[in-house]
Amino acid sequence: MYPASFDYTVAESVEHAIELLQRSGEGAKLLSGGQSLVPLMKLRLVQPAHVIDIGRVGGLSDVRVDDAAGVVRIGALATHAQVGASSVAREKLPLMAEAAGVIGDAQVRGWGTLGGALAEADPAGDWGPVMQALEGRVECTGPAGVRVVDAASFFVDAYTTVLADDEVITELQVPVPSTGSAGAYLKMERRAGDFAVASVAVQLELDGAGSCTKAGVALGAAGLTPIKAVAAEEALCGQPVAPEVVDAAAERVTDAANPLADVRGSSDYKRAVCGALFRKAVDIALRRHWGENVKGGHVR
Amino acid sequence: MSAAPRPPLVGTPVPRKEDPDILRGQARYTFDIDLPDMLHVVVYRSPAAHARIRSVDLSKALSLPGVVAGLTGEQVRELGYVNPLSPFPFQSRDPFKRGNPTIKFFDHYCLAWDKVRFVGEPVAAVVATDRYIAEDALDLIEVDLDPLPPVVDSAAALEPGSERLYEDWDDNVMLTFRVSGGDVDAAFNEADVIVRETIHSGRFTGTPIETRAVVADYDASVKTLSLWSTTQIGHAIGTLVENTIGLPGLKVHVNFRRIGGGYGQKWAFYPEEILVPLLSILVNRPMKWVETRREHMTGTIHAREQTHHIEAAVRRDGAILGVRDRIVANIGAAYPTGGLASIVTTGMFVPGAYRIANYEGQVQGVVTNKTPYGAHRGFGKSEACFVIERMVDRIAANLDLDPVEVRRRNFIPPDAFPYRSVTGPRYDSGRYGEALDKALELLDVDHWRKAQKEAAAEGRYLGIGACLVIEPSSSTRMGSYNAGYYSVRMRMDPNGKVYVFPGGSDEGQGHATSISQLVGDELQVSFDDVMVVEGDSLACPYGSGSYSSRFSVVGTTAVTLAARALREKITQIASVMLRHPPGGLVFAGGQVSVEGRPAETVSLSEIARVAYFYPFQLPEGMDPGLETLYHFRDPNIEFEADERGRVAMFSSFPYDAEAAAVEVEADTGLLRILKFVSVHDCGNMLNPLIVRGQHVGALAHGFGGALYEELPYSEEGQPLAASFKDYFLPTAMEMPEMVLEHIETPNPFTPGGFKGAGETGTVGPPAVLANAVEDALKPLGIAVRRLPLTPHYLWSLIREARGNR
Amino acid sequence: MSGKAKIRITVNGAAHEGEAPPRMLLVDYIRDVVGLKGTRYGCDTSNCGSCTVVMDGKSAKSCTFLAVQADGREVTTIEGLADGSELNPLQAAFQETHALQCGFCTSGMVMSAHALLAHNPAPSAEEIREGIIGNLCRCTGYVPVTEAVQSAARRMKPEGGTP
Repeated sequence: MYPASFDYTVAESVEHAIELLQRSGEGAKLLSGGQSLVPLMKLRLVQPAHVIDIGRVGGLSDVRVDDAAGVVRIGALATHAQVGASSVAREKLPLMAEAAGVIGDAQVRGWGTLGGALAEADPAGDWGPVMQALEGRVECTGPAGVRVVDAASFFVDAYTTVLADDEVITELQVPVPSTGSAGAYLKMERRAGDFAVASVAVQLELDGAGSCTKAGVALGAAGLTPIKAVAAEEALCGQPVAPEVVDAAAERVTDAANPLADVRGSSDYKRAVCGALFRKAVDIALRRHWGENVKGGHVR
Repeated sequence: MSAAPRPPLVGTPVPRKEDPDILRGQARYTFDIDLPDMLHVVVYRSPAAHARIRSVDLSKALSLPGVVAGLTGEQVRELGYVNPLSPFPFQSRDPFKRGNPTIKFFDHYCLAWDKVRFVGEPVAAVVATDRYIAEDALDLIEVDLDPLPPVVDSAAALEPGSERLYEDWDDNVMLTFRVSGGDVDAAFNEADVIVRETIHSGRFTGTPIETRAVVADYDASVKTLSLWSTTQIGHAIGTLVENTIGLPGLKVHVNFRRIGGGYGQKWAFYPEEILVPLLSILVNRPMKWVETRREHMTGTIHAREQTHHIEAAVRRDGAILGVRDRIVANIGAAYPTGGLASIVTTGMFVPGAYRIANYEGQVQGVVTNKTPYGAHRGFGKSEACFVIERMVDRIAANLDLDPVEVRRRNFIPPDAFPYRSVTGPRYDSGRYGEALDKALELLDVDHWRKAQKEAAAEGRYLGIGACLVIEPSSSTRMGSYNAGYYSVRMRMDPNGKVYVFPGGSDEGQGHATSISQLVGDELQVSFDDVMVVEGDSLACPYGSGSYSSRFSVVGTTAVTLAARALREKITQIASVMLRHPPGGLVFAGGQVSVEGRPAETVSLSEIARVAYFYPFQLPEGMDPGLETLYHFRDPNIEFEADERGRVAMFSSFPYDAEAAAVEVEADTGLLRILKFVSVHDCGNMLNPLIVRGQHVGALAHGFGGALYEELPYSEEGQPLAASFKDYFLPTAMEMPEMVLEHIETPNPFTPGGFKGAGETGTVGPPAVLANAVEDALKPLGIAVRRLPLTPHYLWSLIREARGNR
Repeated sequence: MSGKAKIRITVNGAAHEGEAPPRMLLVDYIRDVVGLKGTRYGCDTSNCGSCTVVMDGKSAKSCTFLAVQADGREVTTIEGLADGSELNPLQAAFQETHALQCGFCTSGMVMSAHALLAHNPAPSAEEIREGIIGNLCRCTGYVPVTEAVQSAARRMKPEGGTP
């Protein structure tokens, strides 16, 4: 299957891309790695009049620590594989490195970009829940300059974000969790490489006594957008993470989930999976906190 | 000097001669064919499950620059010389003499003209200078449909007031078949217990990675149609095309040398095999059509969907006295596919590996607004085995017996072979009990029973399961294209090289390698000096194609016997040349010598040159040349069914004992295969490397159908899995750790002792995994009654058993 | 089709300059413009991986790229692996372990394995299996493929290296 015709321009810079976007209006699409956009265009589910290729814009794929701001800055054109292999990500944001390893397959990971994935806003995307659990922010650059949007308010609907027609995602800013913080990203698939049946990102901050001081919990493939399970986060905080606390929080996770039925399962089933993955993720996070080397990522 | 004898090639793991070309990217498939001035065809397919066609308007599409032609169903009918698609696999509308089975037919053309009956049915075609433009044109086709109520579920289709797919039929039943043996009523009267179940096999299919493609080039000056098609039945397609395109004097040359997998899906007569040639005839240019995956998922056959209402009469000790099974297959729209033959086959093989003396099977093939139903590796036997292997475990659960004990009690014993089954087939050989014992030993049942107890203490569910599945191979049917013989032409050329022209074709099984092994041994020529030319309807003898593992049964036999016929002639010529009686001549290293006198030797090429160039030196009455055409007729089949439907349609009976240990995770329904064992018996192994490859590949299909692959439909008849995004083919990660063993019980009906190979693996996993799941969930009292065993399904079963908590 | 773009792609070491409409997929450019038919496609949705090539050192599904995206890049296809008629160690291992049957997915599978070994010369069986999930095979059941890649890794192991 083949895309409908379109005009194609290689953007030389972010500014150039914005200019091109302004010129071509609604019918334009940005292409970075193309790992989602090209298949959608082949199925003619997306038929842009103008494709603006930002894949060659330089300086947008670094992964670096900004100590002053207490964040890791990830260029929007960084690929999933790059984040998975980045020593900065592995050290400072192991949750992101874990998620990077379970996206698609080797080919997709090598070319697909974080900025592209966030902009696509697939309801089953992996970066949405991870960014929300880590309280990450998305830097969007437009004609008026730069604005930074919390991941929690970045997604509007399925395949829809707050990004304006003339804006480009330029960076992800992810706060570095405190030492002693631990997390897990778990994803269940019908078969390897598939979209998630459901996925859960959990990041816990624990004090010396094992009491939870801060919790990030977010769900993927559990609704039209990633869902930050705020009530579950609250239920975890302010006390040691005892089984009855996890039970109460898991109930809030399933309450927060509002998944759509499809060939991967009914809405009820996926909601139950969210709860089950949450329990596992909390368990893994706690064990990691205590120094155990536990495998996360795929639940198989 | 004569050469030393060489160890046999047959029976050794020779790497394939096909591989280097493929590995260097040099192999060519149908969609690689490019011809000068070629145009590209795309097909508009029905978006609706059931509707009357009001109009098809191509005018906008035709006005697009680059679009050359278009065609609608109405236009096809108006041509006058195009007939409805000729029947397949049954060669006529009246193939049976006793009215059992009964079949209704329908006049399908290559494009729908009155109604559409499934999403994906071809409605119109456009032709353009390139594929991109052709797809643009597709978006401009305007089709006006008047929706009709969709018939999706087979039970609903059987309701008296149901909407009919074909108005001139009196119901939605396309096929009815009955087979019985023994005294079933008496068995049920005698029984201690009657176990009744309704068991459902899920709809899934083969999905070769190569989608279908057709290239057609009609040369009007010589009225010759050259056709390249991704088909397992090239010769039959030639005949069917001749029947359907009724142009007097039309010559058809079908090329089907290499296909990218078939697994039964390319064993059907498809509308595009008429449509593309027709467009080539009408436009007078070569045409190419390549199926998209989306088209493939709806326009290419599905398989397996059956519901069995089965009851077994059993004695308290587990002996199965009799079985009744009413089988309803949801066969989608009526199409010329192997679907009907596959469901009849199910009815024949429900007794499986068991000595069941009293049996009655009733089969109904019910049409619905789904994709047509056809062949898929395991062909009907897969469903039969799933059901009987499930039943054995259900019987054991009812009687509180060990399912393994119930199997042992009922197995056909080794000394009963050849065994005449209650439905007519003659099972060639088998050691079922021994294979099962070996599988259980390799599984280490004690270990897993202990692990099961420990897991139970932690609230986890572990279980073990076993099955013994048969996969009768090399099918034959009266009045059909699969008529139980295999022809091979074989020529030793003047250089002493052997050219082999089999009537079959290859889907990736490595025929060239296997044939080279057989011929290499028979004629003592080198492996590299055997040349195999396959898949050319004019170069090769007529044949029924590649299906039912028949190459390893009748194909290898025909090759062996053809080589022996050639050897006989070579011996006679050598006898003249060496002035020695034929009895004392030996073949080795490309030479024929007098035994014990190594100096008295002639090479095969010297002999061949005499045969071709000095015919006057040949023994009196002998024809010149070294070429033979050999036809092998399968001795272990019968053509005529008796009055109760009993007939021997399959000639060899490979089988597989499988055992597995699994864990079911209650909160997600995930099934983890902890250990999987298969003990496979396909008789003697011609090439153990290929047999292992075939078996592992078949197991992957088995795991797919057991756990992942499903073709669900909405209530409106919309397919919900129309791409590889929603249809879950197993990847490398879905393959469990496997322990594979072989035992070899030779087939007494073939000279090499070979049976079919490469299909039992598709049959076992659904059964063994369902049995293991049921064992794991025994504390909850759960029965598994459908496939696939998706996490969602298992979670639902557990939740229901726990009172929806 | 909105105009044509001039592109230059190095394919198996040789530069190819040509024109492609922006919507032309890289796989079609390789097959129909460069004329190398060993790269195939089988799914349209970026699942089957039959079209896998190596681009700038990374495996890439050529059906999921526009040809214009490959402008200025280096592409290696299945035809670029063997030295003349001599199979490379990975190809030879595929033959020895019977890691192909119909051969349709084989080009993509070999190219994925080739990229995998370039990044990880001594992968575990698990890493190989995980590394080829983007390549669907319907014939082999993957087990012989994993064996082939392991065997090739052993054979290609640098002197004194650990397996």
